[in-house]
Amino acid sequence: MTERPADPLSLWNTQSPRLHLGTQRFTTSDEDLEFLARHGVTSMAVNRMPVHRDIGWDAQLLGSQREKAAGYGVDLEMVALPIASLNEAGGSIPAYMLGDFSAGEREIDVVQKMVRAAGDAGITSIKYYLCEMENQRTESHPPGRGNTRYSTFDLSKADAETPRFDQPLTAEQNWERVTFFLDGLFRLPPRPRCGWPVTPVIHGCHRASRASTGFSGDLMDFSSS
Amino acid sequence: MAESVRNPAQEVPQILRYFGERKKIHLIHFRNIFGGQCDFQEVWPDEGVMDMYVLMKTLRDVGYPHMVVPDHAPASAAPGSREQSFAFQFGYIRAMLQAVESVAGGS
Repeated sequence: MTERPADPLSLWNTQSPRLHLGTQRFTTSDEDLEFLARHGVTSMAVNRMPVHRDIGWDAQLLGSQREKAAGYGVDLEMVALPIASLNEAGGSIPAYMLGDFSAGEREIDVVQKMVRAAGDAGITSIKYYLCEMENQRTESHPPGRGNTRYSTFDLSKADAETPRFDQPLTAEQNWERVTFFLDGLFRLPPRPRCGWPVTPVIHGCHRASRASTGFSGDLMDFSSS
Repeated sequence: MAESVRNPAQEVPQILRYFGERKKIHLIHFRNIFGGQCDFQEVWPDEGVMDMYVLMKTLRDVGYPHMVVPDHAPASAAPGSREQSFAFQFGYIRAMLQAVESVAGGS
């Protein structure tokens, strides 16, 4: 497998850092883009782009959305993979996460097309969410500041009894399926211009987020994998 | 990330530095929490257990080049709650970005 450079676009710079305000919760509607521009938001990730089973994403559509956002001073720099739309049978969980690697290969093929489309549209990052179990939350009590509701999790009150899958899933099986997807994704060859079409950004349910031994354990393992 | 560790105030800056020095961070959900691993609440950025200035400064120090985004916005039944929450968080993050830049420029 081709070695992936950590910073193919040479963006990291301690002398002139480029960190900036962004969002992942808005769309490219005029109303949303005006709202973002009004509040000084200069970058965005878009979570929902139309998906075509044969071509994945439409690169022209991605490009036009990026241009539209740019017209408001917002860089559409990231798109979320539609993980919940990959299963040909219509379920919200991809076949590879259910252990069907044959159908999973076809899902990966579609994802590779999406990655290429993003690269062609000049979108430098994609993100993906591989946690097939929900981010479980428990009751939020008491209310937060100004009677707001805080997203809350208390393990002692969590539902550990309700089955999420037809068959019990071990951690090893889960990681095997995640690895299958990532290995397939990274079969995509690099491109000369930037070394890699896009930067894959993992979100949720990686080893770091299940760390049960604290910083010195799982996080270190993840960083070397 | 903060909800994955026992002592977010102490551990998260170390985590950011560890992964940042290896250029392994591509997106930051900039939000604070009460509590820690297995028992936490996602709260407004200015009231949790972590010093958000320290986190932003760490990101700057390692040369992090990507987005810093609000995560879940605390919700309420008030009209326009979602937009208000995001406006607050956008302003908070922008102010924090300007603060670390200002301090770095003066040092």
